[in-house]
Amino acid sequence: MDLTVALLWILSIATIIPAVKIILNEKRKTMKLKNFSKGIQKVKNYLEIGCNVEEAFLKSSQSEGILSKISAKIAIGKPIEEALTETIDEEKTPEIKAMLSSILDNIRREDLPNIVEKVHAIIEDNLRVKSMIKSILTPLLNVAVVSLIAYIIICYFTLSLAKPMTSLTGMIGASIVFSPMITTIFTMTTLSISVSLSMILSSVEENMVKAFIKYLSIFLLISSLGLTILQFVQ
Amino acid sequence: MRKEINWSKLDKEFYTAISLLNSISSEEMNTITIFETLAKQRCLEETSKLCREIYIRKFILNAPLQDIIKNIKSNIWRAFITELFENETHGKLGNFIEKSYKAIVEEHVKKIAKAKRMLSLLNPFIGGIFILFPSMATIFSFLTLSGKIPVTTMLIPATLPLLSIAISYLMRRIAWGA
Repeated sequence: MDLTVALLWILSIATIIPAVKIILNEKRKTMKLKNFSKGIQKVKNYLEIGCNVEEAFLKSSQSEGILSKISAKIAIGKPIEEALTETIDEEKTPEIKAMLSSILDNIRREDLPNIVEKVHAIIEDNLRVKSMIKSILTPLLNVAVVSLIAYIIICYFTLSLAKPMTSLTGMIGASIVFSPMITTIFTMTTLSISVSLSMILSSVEENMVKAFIKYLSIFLLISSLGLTILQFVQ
Repeated sequence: MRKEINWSKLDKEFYTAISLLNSISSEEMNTITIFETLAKQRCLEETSKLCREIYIRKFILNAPLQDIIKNIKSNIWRAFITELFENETHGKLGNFIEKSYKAIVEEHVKKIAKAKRMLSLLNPFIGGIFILFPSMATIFSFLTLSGKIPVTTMLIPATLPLLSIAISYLMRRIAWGA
């Protein structure tokens, strides 16, 4: 394997681990927000039909998620205030922490169903914005991946055609085709395309640095795979 | 204002803080309860620092509002707090918070929609920028290769990121205003 392709592999492996972590965290956070939104809607419904706040949380508990944690704490006899405080301390998502805090601060207020309804609306707004960003990025990511693969294929086939042509025209020696220098040019250009596409895609996301690492690892992996396959095929 | 407030972190907490206020907003709300509520939020570290400071200076030490506001180094927070006190005198605090929250969400949605339009315009050119231009340049340089990497080939890896920096800066400004 050529040294530059090996370096590209090292780069892609180095970015894969944080990228997988970032992707998993994003999915977990979205899932958590969706579960919380559903659960809090149920809490509001139970409060509206006259249940007290403890009953509402116990009846709305899901198989997993934040509300199940809260109801488990209530079920073992902890006061709801303590259950909420502990859950807020354990929780890492700032949006959920803030919303649970607002419920905790107003837990004995008569208009708690209104507050819970507002909390639900806020979480839904948050999810709506997230899904809007995703809807922009998915087609662009597809185009970017296709562009990168197309670049590698176009260059490969043109050079394959150039090889027999060179003997006719005498423009370049056949030995130049797929030489280490050409692999270096290929690698540098694919790396440059990967960095560029990652920059454009990450600019739309909230956390630009994390998004950049995520997209860069995808493109670097495609580039490394493509270039390695080309080296074996030639 | 105390030095330990991280102003850029405080700006990032703005949306969550307004969301929290919106969830508890009511007609009986006043500035004391607002600053008390925000001051005790452990999940909004910088916001709680700022609000504790404002609470002490405004409601305990009775410092003039202008002095307090001029020390806030965050534009969005300064504007919000100024309007907050203005609206309290008109008795429309709950309404103001709800409107502020809705305005933030709507503005964000509009910006994302604008970014979406920009990207859909850019989409057809991606093929040109990221397939044709580097392919042609690479192939051309291969055909004229004479033992050294030509300057034209070196220009591709340099030009594309520069072009992308410009595009991503534009996109960032449109989508997030930063």
